[in-house]
Amino acid sequence: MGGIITAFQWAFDPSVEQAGAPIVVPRSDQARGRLDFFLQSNQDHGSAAHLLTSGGADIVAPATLRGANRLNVAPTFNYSAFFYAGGVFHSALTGAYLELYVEEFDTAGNFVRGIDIGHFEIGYWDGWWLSGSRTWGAGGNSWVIPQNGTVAVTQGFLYRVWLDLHGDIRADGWGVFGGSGAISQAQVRFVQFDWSIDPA
Amino acid sequence: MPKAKTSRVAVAKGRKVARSKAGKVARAKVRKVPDTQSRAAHWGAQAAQLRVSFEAHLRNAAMQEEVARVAATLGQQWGLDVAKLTAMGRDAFLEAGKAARAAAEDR
Repeated sequence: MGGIITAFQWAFDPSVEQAGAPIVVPRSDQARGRLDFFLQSNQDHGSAAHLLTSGGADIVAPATLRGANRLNVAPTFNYSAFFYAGGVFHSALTGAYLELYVEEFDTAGNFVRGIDIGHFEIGYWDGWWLSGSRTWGAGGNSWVIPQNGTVAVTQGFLYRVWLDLHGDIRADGWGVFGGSGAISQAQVRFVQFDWSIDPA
Repeated sequence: MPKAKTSRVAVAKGRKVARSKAGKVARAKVRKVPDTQSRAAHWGAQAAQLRVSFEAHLRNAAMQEEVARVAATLGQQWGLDVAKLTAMGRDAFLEAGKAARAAAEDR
């Protein structure tokens, strides 16, 4: 058995982890299938930020399942991103990635476990600069995150599948003699979760 | 081209989305996960690690400031105008941020 889910049912936007007052702009709209952010390091001094924004959907394993079964799930998405890292005698980090995370709940709705089952790197740079910068974009349509690892299924349990978008920056700010800056921006358009429950 | 009989119309890849009579794609009903749930607990553990690494980063940034000061002195002895390179780097960084943010908000 299986199916296609074309809309998020859940949104998760925890407060952004940050230090040193970077610019943080969360812009997701899960109701429209959009995960989106902009991060820019503080121009004057050291700063860092890590943002997570996520959309999820529920899959219920039928109570009539027999034998051992596993859940297979693959998200399809479009994305575009922009990254900047630059410095003079300083280091800078910028990056963004997607993760596929599944939560299992029992028939009473109690949380049982969480499983990381996929990773897709949009872009990443971490380096030290004598003097210079790197600016680049990334994008693509109809990308799929392949599932790594198996999710054993229990009859009647609920599986909440999450597409997590992470953004990262770290830089030292700019002084008079040297400094660094980092920017990370990504927009992901969710298309669908293809899922199936198959005999193990 | 045949008219759609209902308010649901087919879009790319055979996917169907609910549309209003005006033809706009409807917003899905999305519920926010409250902070007390398992999702927040999972993220909380990662966030705690991030906070530790951020503190280390800020300490390191202060140390790099010292290294950069020495390197800048050496650089100037080699003929590099470090102050000018720094000003250019800062300008490029600010311009890149402005342009990227504006481009994304226009979409």
